[in-house]
Amino acid sequence: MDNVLRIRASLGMVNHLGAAIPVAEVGLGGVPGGAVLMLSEQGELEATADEFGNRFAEFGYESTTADLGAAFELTGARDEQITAAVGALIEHVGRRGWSPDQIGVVGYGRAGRGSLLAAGAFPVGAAVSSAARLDDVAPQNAPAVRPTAPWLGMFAQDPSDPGGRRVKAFAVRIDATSPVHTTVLAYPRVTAAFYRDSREPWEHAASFDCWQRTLEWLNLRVAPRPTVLAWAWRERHRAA
Amino acid sequence: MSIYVDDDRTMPRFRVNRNAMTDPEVYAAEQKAIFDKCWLYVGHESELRKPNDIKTRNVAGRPVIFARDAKGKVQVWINSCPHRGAMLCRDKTTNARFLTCFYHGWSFSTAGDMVSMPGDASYGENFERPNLAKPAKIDSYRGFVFVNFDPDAVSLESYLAGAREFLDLVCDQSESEGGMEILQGTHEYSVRANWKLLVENSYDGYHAVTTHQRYFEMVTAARGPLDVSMFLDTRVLDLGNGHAVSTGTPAGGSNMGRPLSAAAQAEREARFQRIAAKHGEGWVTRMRGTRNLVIFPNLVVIDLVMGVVVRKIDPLAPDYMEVSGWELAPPEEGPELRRQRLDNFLTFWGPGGLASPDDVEALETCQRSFAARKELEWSDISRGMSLERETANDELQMRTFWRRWNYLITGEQLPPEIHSPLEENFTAPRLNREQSVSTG
Repeated sequence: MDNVLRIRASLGMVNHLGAAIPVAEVGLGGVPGGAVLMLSEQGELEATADEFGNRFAEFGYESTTADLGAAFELTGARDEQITAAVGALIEHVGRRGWSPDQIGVVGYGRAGRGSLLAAGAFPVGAAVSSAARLDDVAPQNAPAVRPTAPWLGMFAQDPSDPGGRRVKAFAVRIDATSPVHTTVLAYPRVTAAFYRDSREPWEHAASFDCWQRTLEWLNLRVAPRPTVLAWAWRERHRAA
Repeated sequence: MSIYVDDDRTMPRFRVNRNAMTDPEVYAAEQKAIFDKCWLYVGHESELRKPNDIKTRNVAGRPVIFARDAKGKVQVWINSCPHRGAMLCRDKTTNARFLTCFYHGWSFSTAGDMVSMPGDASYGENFERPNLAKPAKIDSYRGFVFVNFDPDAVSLESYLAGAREFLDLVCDQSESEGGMEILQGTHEYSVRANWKLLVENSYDGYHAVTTHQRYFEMVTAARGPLDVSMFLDTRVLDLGNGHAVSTGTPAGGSNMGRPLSAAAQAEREARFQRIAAKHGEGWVTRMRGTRNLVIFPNLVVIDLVMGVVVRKIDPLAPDYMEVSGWELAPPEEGPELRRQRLDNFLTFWGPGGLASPDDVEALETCQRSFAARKELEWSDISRGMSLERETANDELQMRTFWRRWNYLITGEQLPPEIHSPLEENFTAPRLNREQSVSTG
């Protein structure tokens, strides 16, 4: 029997340029350590908020999950359109008192393009994309993104490219062009949603590793929200 | 007279007492008088390519965090939580904006500021939150970053004295805006011997042919007889503050390593010519030569065999040291030159290469035989004292080191040796572009 206490996400909408983006939010009391904006796969809003929102909560992050695909067709959407929508969501999270560097953006599947674009457009603390195919996040014919916030990309290794040469070449290219730290990796022998747990051993191992990397990526880079006493101390030192 | 150094100018003879290599009291005195007082190398700025890049190192027995902070400034922090002491960063290399102690969760930025401490209400509002501790002084010279644990130390520039010119000869080898860069990858090995034995070995020309016999057999088999001027046409220089260099003419550089293709030779030649236009032909003639430089006490820069090795020697006990080695290169060089450079770095300087294992074996046998120091108390480092013109095969460079060491440990000041002035091909100055143009 599952006896783990889970927080039920509250559902809502963020209006942006006439479109309504469905969101699911897991808020925390006290002084949370940071905020996560999750971009779910289309139709996976509640499942993502429930599974990953609760996991992030265990580590002091409150979260807002958004389903961009429910607001507009992600495939074929222009980067500007996705970036603007993610910007509106960051602003929405900011209304709870989070500055951009206190926010990590995590995108799953095709919405992983959104977190890569966020890393190139906003001064967020960190960004992560997890997707089955590199093309979901960095299509070959799409404009190259130059992350200015640290970005982690995780993909399933393409069976037609067993050495992972395409992913490796992409990793070298994005690291060379970005002024900040980036990491790209591919998991062998996994399929689509490797970031979700599975009984299949390779998928299980990949989902565990992917979650650990996501959490550590954020822990090392997302600025913690200062407590009341920390604020007071900073102000005292600034005045001195 | 010092009980460690016998500097007899009448015979002449220079000897070092082997207790200096074995006695725990000497080791403790070195920590206090040398490693707590001298400028010590931490790393090269190019190792920290991006904001929040971090390397962890040991300097003078202290664990340090060598980092580039979020704003791009190079920082060195003591790798210990101000709370209860646990190491903040346990990775050799990483990238992180925040370092959170895994013991109680106190968190600090790469700029050294405290960021958070769990349960801070229990400390009260007047609690003074500590930032990360750091060495008393941090400074760099052309990308080489040093620290000093003595707040009253002289500036790095003054400390480096004449060694700056020889670092310039290395650093000027790149035309790129960022200068020479450390290539990824580190040689790390340990030696069961006193650290000063590796300092001596690092610029000891005398040992090369005997200790590295097989290497020279390989070179002569591949390239024909050696040009002996590479051994004879060399000089040694006391650079002040214990630093010294043994330096050779271009014959030394072109005799070693694997032969280059015509295209790689042309690339190298064209680069030297462009540098000559900027800094003068004489400076580039010196640059084409070789140099084994020791910056007192434990930084070695060897520009020899198709590459530049940066070596940091860390003593951990009287009879044990750890050694780190990196390759310094012009980032703009082409693939063949880079391949040759890395090949030599691995096959000559590497822990399993043609040179380092020979040296390690020699030093470890020295250390083992020092157990008989009662019967055989002194080591001899006199070679070249009676010569007017000493070469790299002589031992002036080691005597320079030992005289400084002796001064810092015992307070006894021994006068420098006087030898004939250096020839012009070892002294040509570095011109700036304007001077170079005006002198035609």
